[in-house]
Formats: sequence, C-alpha cells, structure tokens
Amino acid sequence: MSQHTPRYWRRWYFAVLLFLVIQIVAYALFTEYWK
Amino acid sequence: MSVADWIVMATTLVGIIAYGVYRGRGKQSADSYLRAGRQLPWPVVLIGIMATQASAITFLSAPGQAFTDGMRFVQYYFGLPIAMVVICVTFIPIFRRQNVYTAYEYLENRFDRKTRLVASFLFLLSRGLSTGISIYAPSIILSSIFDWNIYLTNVLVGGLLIIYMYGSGAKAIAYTQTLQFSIILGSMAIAGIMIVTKLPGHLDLGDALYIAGQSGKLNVITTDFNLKDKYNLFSGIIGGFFLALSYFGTDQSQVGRYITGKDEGESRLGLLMNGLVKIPMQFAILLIGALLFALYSLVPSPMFFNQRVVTDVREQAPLEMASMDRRWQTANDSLTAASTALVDARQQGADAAPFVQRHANARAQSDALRKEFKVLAAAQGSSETNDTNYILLYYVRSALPAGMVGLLFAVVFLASWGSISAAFHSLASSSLVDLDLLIRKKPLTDSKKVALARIHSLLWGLLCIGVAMFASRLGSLIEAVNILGSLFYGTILGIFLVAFYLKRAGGTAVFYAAIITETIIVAVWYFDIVSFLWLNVIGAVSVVAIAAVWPRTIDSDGVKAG
Repeated sequence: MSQHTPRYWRRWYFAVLLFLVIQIVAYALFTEYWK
Repeated sequence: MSVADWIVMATTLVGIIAYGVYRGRGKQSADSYLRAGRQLPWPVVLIGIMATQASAITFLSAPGQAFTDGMRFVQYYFGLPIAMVVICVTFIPIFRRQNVYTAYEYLENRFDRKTRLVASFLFLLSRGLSTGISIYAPSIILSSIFDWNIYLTNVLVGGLLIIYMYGSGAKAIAYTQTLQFSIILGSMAIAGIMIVTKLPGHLDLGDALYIAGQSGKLNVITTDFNLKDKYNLFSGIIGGFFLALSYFGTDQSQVGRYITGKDEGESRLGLLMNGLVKIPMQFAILLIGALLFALYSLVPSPMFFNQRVVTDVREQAPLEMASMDRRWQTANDSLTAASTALVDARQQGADAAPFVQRHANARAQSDALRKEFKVLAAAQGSSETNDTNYILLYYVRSALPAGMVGLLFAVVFLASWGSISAAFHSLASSSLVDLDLLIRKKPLTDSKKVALARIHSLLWGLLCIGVAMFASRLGSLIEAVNILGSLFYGTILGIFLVAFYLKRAGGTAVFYAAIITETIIVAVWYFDIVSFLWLNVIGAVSVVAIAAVWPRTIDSDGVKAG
C-alpha cells in the first residue's frame, strides 16, 4: 500500500486538474494573441 | 546522408540495443519478466507510459499536422489529465489489490471467464494488427527517403529490438525506454531551436510566431462545436477523456507499464506526472510544425515534401511538371516576399492589414498548387498523396548539420522501438496469462513460465513484422485496421466501468450489454454520424446504461465481489 494519506493524493489530483484549466486558459490567450 | 550521419545513427542504435541487453541480464522470474517484479520508481513508470504512447509517427506526423492544419490537434489530449486522475482513484487500487498481471485477469475475478476471454481477444486482435501497422508506418517513410527495400526496413524497425527485448522483460524495456525517450526529446528540442536559428537574418521567434499565427497555424483552441469535427475543445475534453481512460485504463500495453510501479504510490505518481507533462510536450512538438511553416514561408520550400513521389511524377509527366515547377517558383517567390513584407510591417509598427491580405493571397496560391500536384501525382498512379509525415524529415535532411541528421533518423527508430517493445511485451503477457496458462491443465514451474513468455514475445514480434510485410499490399485498408481498434475501445472501457462502479451487475448483463453496444457502434460508424472520438463516449456510456437497466433475473451468473 502507498504510504501517503488520502489528503496527499487529493492535493495531487487537484493540482493536475488545476494545471489543465490553467493550460486551457493560457492556450486560449495564446490563440487570441497570435490570431 | 553523410558518413558522419551514418556513424551517429548506427552508434546510437547499437548503443541502445547493447544497453537493453545489459539492463536485461541476470536470471528472470515470471514476475520480473512480466511486471519487472513491481519494483520500478515513478520516473521510470512515467517515461515507460510516455514512450509507449508516442510512436515514430507521433513525432513525425504531429509537426506535419501543425504545418498543414495548425496546432488544434493538441486539444485531443485535454481529456488525458482527467483520465489520469480517474485511473489513480479507481483503476490502480483495484489492479494492485487483486495482484493482476493483465487488466483482463481482473474481469474474470469480477465477472466470469468469457468476459475475460472476449476482452483479451479483442486486445490481442486490435493491438497485434495496429503494432504491425506501427512497424510499417515509419518503415515506408524510411524506405521512401533512402530508397531502401520495404521488407528489409520492416525487419530493421520491428526486428532489431527483439534482440534486447526477447531475453529482458519488463524492467529492461522500461529502462531502455527511458534512455530512448531522453535522446528523442533532446533531439527534438535541438531541431526546434535550429528552426529559429535558420530564420533569415533580422527575424526572431516572435516574427515566426506572427507569420504562423496570421496563417491560422496557432489555432490551439477551437470552440466551434461540431460532432463531425475531430479536434475542438469539446471533443478534446469529453472524447479525449474517454479515449485516454480506455487506452490507459484497459489497454494492456499501458496497464502493463504502470503495474510495474514499486507500490501504488509510484504507479500513481507516474500517471499523474503524465497528466502534467503530456499536453506541454505535445504543444512543443506541434509548435515545431508551426515554426516550420513560418520558416518555409520565408525561405523556398518544395511543392511536395515526399521527394520520391516528386521524382516519379517528374519522370512520368515531364511536361506538366515543367509547367508546375515554373508556377511553383513564382508562387514561392511571392509567398516569401509577402511574408517578409508582413514581418517588416510588424517590426516597423505599420498598418498590417494590406500585408495580411497579400500574405493570405500568396498562401492560397501555393496551397492551390500543392493540391494540384497531389491530383497530378494521383493521376500518375502514386498511392502517396499525403506528405504530412515527410515535412519534418525534409527539413532535417536539408537544413540540419552533419551528425544531427543521423541522430534525428535514429530518433525515428528509437521512437518506434519504445512503443513497439511495450506492445510486443503486453501482447505476450496477455496471450500467456489470459489464454495459454488457462488452457494448460498442469501448473508450470516459474522458469518454464519465463521460457514460455519469451516464446510468446518472439512469436508476437514475428507476427507483427508479418502484418507489417503484408501492410505494403493493404493500401487503404491500413486505415481500416486503425478504425477496427477504435470501434472496440469504448465498449471495453464500458465493461471495466461496469466492473468498477456497478457492483450489482453480473457477467451475463455486461456480456449482452457489450454485444448490443458493439452493434450500435458499428452502425454509428457505418452511417458516419459522429467523428471517431465520440465513438468511445457512446460505447462506454451505452455499456454502462444497458448493464444498469438489465433485469437481474436474466443474469443467471449472480454477482461476484468487485
């Protein structure tokens, strides 16, 4: 079993999903900027 | 290629094979051969996952795709991080707890043997065929560029890796993938940087991006919703999520990578890191294609990037080609002039509108000539009228210095080997564990299992090379093989989702739900109602929905614990 707590993993999941949202926003801005 | 390039390429390839053999030395048990003894740290798991997914065609066609269609292909990966989280929450703990060698093994524990057999059979069929195609796809490119015999090239691309993977097993494959992938990423980064350095004197990265942007190549996000459109924000997030969930959660070529993690945490970290780095990596690879477009707007470019086809057409239709060559020269000159004028206007802060229009007209002119050439090539009997996969390699051969060309061609081999070695290994694991060992009445000793696993690996290697040999005669059927895999993906995911989330559903319910769904999927595909990414969504949702409403009285199997 993993030695990490469920809270540790929840933070990881949140970070991965947050990074996805940040990227989509950044790519949308990139698309608009160079249009 | 120069002598230096051949030396760099041969040294890289021999080095990789030697490294693979070195990492695979020592005595193997069935557990170490099939699952690396479940001892790998997350960085190795991560790179195994990434190298398995990224074939040679990924590195060749993605820049070509950005060159022709723009960067919107990156949206295809937007569902991937969400899928990574779902797999970490649900799939990994279950696979880990049940101590499985293959994903399909779990289906027997949860449902019954027939569900396991159907799922593993579909995997073996579709992965076996598609691995053959992924040997053939880079082979045809190499054979076209170097004028090599296609059958010999198939053996080089699909056969040399057997030298190290036959005896080695999962651990050596994973560590070799790590070295391969490092070389690939390093080489691609250098190729990308060199595009910017090759821009005409007074231009910089910003100018190249400006040209690419004005040409519609930096369309990373597209929000026009259309069920038949392959790549937009919605199909990327929703369709991409189901595709990634199916591929990473239920395809043994991926499950076989992350079950090698030292513990549940290492497997999870490998997948989560993949969720973090995959999209930026694809963005960078696509950006290379967009920058190449800018470069070839500023310096002369060929009408068609597969030079062998150009040579053939020139021989067969010299008069038409002479006329086209003259018109291409004019079109190329006006495109470079319009591009230079456009960036000059940008640099001087002048009103860009008239220059944008002039640039658009010049682009339309060269696009029309490129189309005209494809029609001419098809009329001359050329089967290759798509040069997308040749764009990056054309640049590599014509612009990179000696040594780098050889390294980039070695990358084509390394990227192929990275994904093909994992495919051979997963096919062998599944055919051994899900079929062969089930049929045998007497249990085998551990050393016999290892010997048998090696034979399975070898046989799958030979079979896939055989498919690649046959592929040269398949022509347009190659696309059919790729479609075949995607027709089953959603249904198999649906079976696993029912297993995980519908505790009350039994084997018979899921079996019939899968059959009904597959009929629906084939019909939807046949009548061309939606683009292929949505088939995964329909397949998975349909299996879950039918299994959920299936009357329990019909399900004579009862329910096993999940």
